[in-house]
Amino acid sequence: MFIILTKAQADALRGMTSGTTALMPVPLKNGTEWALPAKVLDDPAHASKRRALAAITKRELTKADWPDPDPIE
Amino acid sequence: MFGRLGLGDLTSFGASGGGALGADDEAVTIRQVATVSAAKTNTTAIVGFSQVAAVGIETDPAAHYSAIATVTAGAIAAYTNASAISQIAAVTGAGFAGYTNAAAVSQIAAVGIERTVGYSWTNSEGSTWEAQCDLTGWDDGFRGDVDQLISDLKSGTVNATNTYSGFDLILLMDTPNSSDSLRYLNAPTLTATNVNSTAFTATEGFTGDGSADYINTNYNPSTDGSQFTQNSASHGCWQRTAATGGGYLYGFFSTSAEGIITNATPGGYGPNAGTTILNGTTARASLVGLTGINRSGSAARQIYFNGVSEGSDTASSTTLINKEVAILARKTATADQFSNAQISLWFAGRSFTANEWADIHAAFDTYRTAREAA
Repeated sequence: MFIILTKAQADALRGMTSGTTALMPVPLKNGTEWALPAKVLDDPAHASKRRALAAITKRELTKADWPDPDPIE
Repeated sequence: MFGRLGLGDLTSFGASGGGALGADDEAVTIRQVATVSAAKTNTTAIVGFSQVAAVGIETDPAAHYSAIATVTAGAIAAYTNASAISQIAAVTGAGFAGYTNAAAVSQIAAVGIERTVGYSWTNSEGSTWEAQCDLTGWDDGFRGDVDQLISDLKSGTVNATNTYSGFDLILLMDTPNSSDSLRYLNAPTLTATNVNSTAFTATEGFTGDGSADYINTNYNPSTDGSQFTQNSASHGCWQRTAATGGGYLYGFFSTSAEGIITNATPGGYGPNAGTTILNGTTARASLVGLTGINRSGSAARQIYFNGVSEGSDTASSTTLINKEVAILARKTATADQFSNAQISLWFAGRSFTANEWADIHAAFDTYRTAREAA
């Protein structure tokens, strides 16, 4: 399960949440959405962002939702 | 009034009970007791005094405790005034254990009591690292394993090489807690970052979800590379659980690629070789263990698995790339090529010879074996 964010939401949530933890939304293939794993909601390290995260839509993602691998892999 | 009581008077008074002592006399009487007890160095008297202090009659205990040379465990346990404790020159071990005031503890340590307690590091680098760490879950067994690792990297158990100073960074990702598993052993003011809640297991390492989490080393070869240079460079990692489904064990990609990929043979990009991959020659069901890639010259690369060279080429070196290295993914403008492997350690440094790679593997293997048994 993933938290699905708009670009504005991703920009607002991106960044360090403690000295050694961070949230970095990952872009999806459609170019308009970003994702965070839903497990970040349960991580105390991100407690300061929990209220904002909890209000955002969640859904399952398939391989087709992610960008195609770069030719260099 | 007892303002003129001497030692004999007080002893007699104590023995016969305190009912005759009025409230107005208590403070004066206590100060007289303090003076007498110091002269007698009688621990029983000190215990009695601490009890008086605890009920609040004494208003300036520090001044009167300054003469105390030794204190029993019971007295320390009952006493809570930091400034007074700081005056104590010697404390028994049991008494110290019962005390929790930080300021006072620092004073006691300064006179040498605490030095007899705790792990004694052979390598000061371990002590320096510990001083920066969270310490949750640590025990002396773990300290010993890390101490042995540092010794082994300094003296090499196979070929007697010293590689420790050749690393820019060594990240032990399998410590007893996640915080310390992000703090560099040989640069303990620096840390990596757990991005998107990568799962951590004590004594094992970090495990990727293969889709959106990773560890950012915060190491950028072009700005942080000291040992890692264009024509002398290396990086590697210890994979504890093999990845399924591809991805990078670590690396980055911009105009050039760096890192180790999931493959049937050991394989990877860099150091400083554009987009030219270097693969080993021996296919395996999994690559659990130490995989590293090395540049020993402007046109000489080698790939190592568990301390043995498994391939080489003559790819020309390129300038260092301005990009941070991710673990369990490939750092790009964001990150991609996520891996679900479990990684126990990562490093970057100068070029190492074949003999040095054998020593590096032996050192990490000894350490990992010890951690698995912990």
